[in-house]
Amino acid sequence: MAVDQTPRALPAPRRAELRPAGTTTRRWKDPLGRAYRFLTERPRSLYAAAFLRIGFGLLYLTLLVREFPNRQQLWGPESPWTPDLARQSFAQSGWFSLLTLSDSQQYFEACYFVALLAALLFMLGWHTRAASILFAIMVASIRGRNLSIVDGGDNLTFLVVVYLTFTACGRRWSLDSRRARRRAAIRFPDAIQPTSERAPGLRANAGVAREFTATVLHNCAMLVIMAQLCMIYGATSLYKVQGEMWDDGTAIHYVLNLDGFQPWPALSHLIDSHQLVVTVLTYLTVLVQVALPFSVFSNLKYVVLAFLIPMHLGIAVVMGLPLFSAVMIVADAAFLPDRFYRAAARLGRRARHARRWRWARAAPALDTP
Amino acid sequence: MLQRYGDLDEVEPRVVDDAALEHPVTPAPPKALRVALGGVAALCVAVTVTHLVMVFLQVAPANPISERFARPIRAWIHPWFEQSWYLFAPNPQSNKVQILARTMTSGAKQPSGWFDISAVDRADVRHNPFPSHTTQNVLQSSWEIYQESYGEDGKPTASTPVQEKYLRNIAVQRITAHSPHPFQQIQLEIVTTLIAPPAGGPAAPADSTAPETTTLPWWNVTPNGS
Repeated sequence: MAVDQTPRALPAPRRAELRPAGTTTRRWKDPLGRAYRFLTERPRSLYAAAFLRIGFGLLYLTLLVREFPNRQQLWGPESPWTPDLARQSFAQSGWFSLLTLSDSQQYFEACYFVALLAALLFMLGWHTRAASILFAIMVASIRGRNLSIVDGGDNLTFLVVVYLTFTACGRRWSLDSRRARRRAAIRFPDAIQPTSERAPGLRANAGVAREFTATVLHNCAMLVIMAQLCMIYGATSLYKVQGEMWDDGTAIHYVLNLDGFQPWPALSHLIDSHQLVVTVLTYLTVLVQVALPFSVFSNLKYVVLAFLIPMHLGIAVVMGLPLFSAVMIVADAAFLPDRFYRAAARLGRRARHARRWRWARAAPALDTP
Repeated sequence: MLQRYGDLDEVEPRVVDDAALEHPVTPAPPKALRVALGGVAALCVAVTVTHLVMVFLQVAPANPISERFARPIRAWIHPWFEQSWYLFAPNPQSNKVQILARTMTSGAKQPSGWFDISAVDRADVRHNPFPSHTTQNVLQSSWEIYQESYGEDGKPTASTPVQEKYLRNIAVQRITAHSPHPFQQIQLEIVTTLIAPPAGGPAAPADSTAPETTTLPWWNVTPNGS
């Protein structure tokens, strides 16, 4: 474990500067103004948005690669769910899919390739806004082509991907942000210059309006993502409370015995044979899911996430649902604040540096910078 | 401070916040613009609040509000934001479903023997850390959706023929790989067995644990799916 050597006291003066004495009492004055500033000052949770972008892009890419050998059967022109059946069902479901516009095999392959590419570009954050819109259209098209095979993870993916098109999810950890940094470094090598001074008037105002709109859209969309997740956990747990199997502590027993979700029968039976474990897991599942929406505004969320994430990992292994579980885990990360991501990134960097340093020491002949 | 090459992430933004980078200090915009931007913010907030209320009402169980405003809710939600989160709720599925199929070749006196097409799925999932959608979400879900397509009165609805063709196409595709002869008709049998309640746990549902068999009518198999 690396020892944290950064001067911890550093942020303190800033805070003192920003918040002079007596602010705590002023906090309750002008709540509307405070809310307005919170919404419009700057985009919040930029790291969480970037994490969602990378996570959902990567998971969708994984799905497309995993199902590549089965793509014909699931979404192709020769699928049991024929393009004709899909088109007939659109009349009822109101959905739309680019994939049913043509029955040609080449067209399908081209669409699949575009979907792969869109997922990759979205994940990397290359022209993120455009990539995110293209990605959302491709996710909707593939989903809409065969609505009967979607599971909870696919549903959540679609919703979050649509919401992410409104966020500034490319501002961190992306090719876009790298490009912006390089450009800024070339243009203003020594100091940060206010760009608007160089282009006053209409253009500057347009820039202000653009940035303002992007900020508000981003903040609203992040709020929608978090609220949507709260509603999912709230709904699924409150539905469960109404079922007698969740009430009497046996639900997990039935889940463990489902045929199609038993990749490791010995493991399923082992858990199933301990009634105490089954009952505790059953109650814990409901309690943790009920708790999430109420915990997100406080540090209690870390406790709830500490239960939720292992629960999803368990589902991934025991039920053979790695993708569904990964989607849920990535989505849960929306609730983590930026300071968490910064600290995580710092830890990662430190580990990398430590390894590089050790490597350099072990092999002194290597010319490491 | 700004780094010249790459990786700003290498340096923790301490004195200059990231935000300052993207929001350089600008002279205050004219008042007209400020008012317009206030309008933009108000619009975004209004859409956000409306959307969240609509999603809540769609996800929540039927209630007087969602009944009263059924049409605006549907207009807003349908189809893109429709969602259902009955994940293992209110109760997890408590039965095992086996789907068998047999075929009839024209001219033959007897149909083929029953072939368990769901067993192929089960075998695919065994010892597979990353099972495909094809084995977990296709055959059994199509049977469930087909069943649900019959209304509460047990009469077929508008979606029944579509779902019937889907189920038949899946069965044909699955059995073709294992059938030595070409065939013209196919029949499905669904065997449902209740999962036994845990030993010594709360009492079992009163129903018998004997498997229940549903046999569907013979369906014609034609290339164009009529």
